[in-house]
Amino acid sequence: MRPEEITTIFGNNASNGAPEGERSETTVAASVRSVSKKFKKTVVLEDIDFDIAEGESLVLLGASGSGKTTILRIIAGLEEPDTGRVILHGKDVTELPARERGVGVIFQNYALFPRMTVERNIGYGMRIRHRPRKEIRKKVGELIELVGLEEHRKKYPSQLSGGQQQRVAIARTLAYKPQVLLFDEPFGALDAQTRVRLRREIRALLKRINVPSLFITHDQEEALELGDRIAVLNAGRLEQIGTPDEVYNRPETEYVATFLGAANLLLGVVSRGDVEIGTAIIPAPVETARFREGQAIKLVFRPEDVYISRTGELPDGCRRLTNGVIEEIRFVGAYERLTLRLDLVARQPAEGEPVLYNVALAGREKRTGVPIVATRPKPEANANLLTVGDRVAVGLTAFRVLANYALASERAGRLVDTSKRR
Amino acid sequence: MERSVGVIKPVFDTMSRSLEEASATIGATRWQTFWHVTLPSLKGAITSGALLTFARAVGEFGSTILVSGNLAMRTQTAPLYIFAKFNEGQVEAANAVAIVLALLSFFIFSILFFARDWLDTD
Ligand SMILES: Nc1ncnc2c1ncn2[C@@H]1O[C@H](COP(=O)(O)OP(=O)(O)OP(=O)(O)O)[C@@H](O)[C@H]1O
Ligand SMILES: [Mg+2]
Repeated sequence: MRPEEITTIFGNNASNGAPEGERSETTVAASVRSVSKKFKKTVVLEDIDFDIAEGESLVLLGASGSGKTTILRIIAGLEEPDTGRVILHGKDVTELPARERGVGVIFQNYALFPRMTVERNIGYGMRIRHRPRKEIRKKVGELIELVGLEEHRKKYPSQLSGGQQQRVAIARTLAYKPQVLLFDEPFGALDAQTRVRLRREIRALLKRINVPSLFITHDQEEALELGDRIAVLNAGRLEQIGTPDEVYNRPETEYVATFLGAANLLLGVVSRGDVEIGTAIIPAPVETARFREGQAIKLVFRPEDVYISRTGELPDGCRRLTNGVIEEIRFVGAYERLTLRLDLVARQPAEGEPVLYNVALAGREKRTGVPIVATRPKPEANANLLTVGDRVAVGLTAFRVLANYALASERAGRLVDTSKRR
Repeated sequence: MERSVGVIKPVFDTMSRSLEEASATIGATRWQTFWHVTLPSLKGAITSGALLTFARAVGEFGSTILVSGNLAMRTQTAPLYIFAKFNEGQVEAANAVAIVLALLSFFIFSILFFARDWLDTD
């Protein structure tokens, strides 16, 4: 389908509801403002705040039970927030029932009407709005073509594959020009291969029709691929919102660092512009600038940011961490994964120094030296062969310095929206 | 009646709940949702509920007639009335009451459907 035809389906891409004046001055399609929610006495969402920009696809990423579905249901009007507002295209819809919000929800099980054909499912939104029959037929035809279900128009949902059902569900919401599309784990019920194919298809479709959307997932790979931005949710709180690059490469919390891919964590302190990890000292004036002298920190780095050198020479821009011994080497398909044991000795804490000063790793192993995980791409692994037992110099091409809050309450209430700070 | 609710309610609670929610987000009123979505997908359950209720009513026949007798306008239940009329050869009268019973069940069932939201909120 050509772009101009798509425009005929969606009009001038925008909204039901919002008055002209307000719409032109904002590019925000949907906002969730300070939303909190309790079920009985359990706090499920705490002070959730984010925007979805016009045409943007935002992914809400979080573990099971973190409150993702609850946020989606609150935006859709299927659940009421205890506090906070939901704003769609500048209009406060917090008090509106679901049917007046004009939001498209693609439920996890698709929730297609089992006794209606594909055509009738897609036309449902227009039928209940009492649109003329001719208009319905034309629009349904266009939408069926848009989602590529021409041969299946007369079938019932039970006769369709999961991917086809999903496309019907999307077309069914597009029929009434939704203000925003909400997808609850849209690929949860599909096999791994179909998942990957479908999320690319959907991403391409969304870019063509330019409807703002919110995806829910607990799969980090899916989040990185689908999202223009990713919001990481942890136990009802937003930890960070940012582009895939920001949340992956510049995580603001340990949770974000470890939830999105593998990360090594070393505990240390800030000392005169350096990061001190036990006996290792890494000059990091820029990274430590926002911390006070002596503050306990965590050094966070990804396995692919570890540089291993047998000669002891490190390339430009790569900062020396310490030396170590190769303990294990495994080939994991596209890359090589190594376990290294770093020559880091925990120093005895001085008088009054926090106990957190001691070097430790997430694994909490008690042997001397600190294990970390590193990966090398195949060409690099083949060019510089390493064997178990090799002594090597270890450098870091990238790392993050995060505050090591002793108390969970210290970091409570810190929403870090990296996209806004630029 | 309580028996047919027992059969239909689980259907309400699982599958049709998300269908109803989908219908609402698409923009349907409560009544449109009931008519286009809930009712069609409940056909099977309504039938089985009605059958079970019927079976139950007929099953209660013996105990009703023994415990409370069969006094017209006093202790005569609808099934007993149907039975009596049927015995007298007045099939039309029996049918009429049977239809009233069926409509009544449907009416009560609809009320239960709409009342479900208040009943659910503890
Ligand atoms: N209607 C409800 N009544 C009581 N508790 C609820 C209700 N809905 C959700 N919860 C609770 O709220 C928390 C968050 O649920 P939610 O469904 O939003 O999580 P989620 O992030 O979508 O998880 P998942 O990935 O497993 O779908 C859970 O602890 C859940 O048990
Ligand atoms: Mg969920």
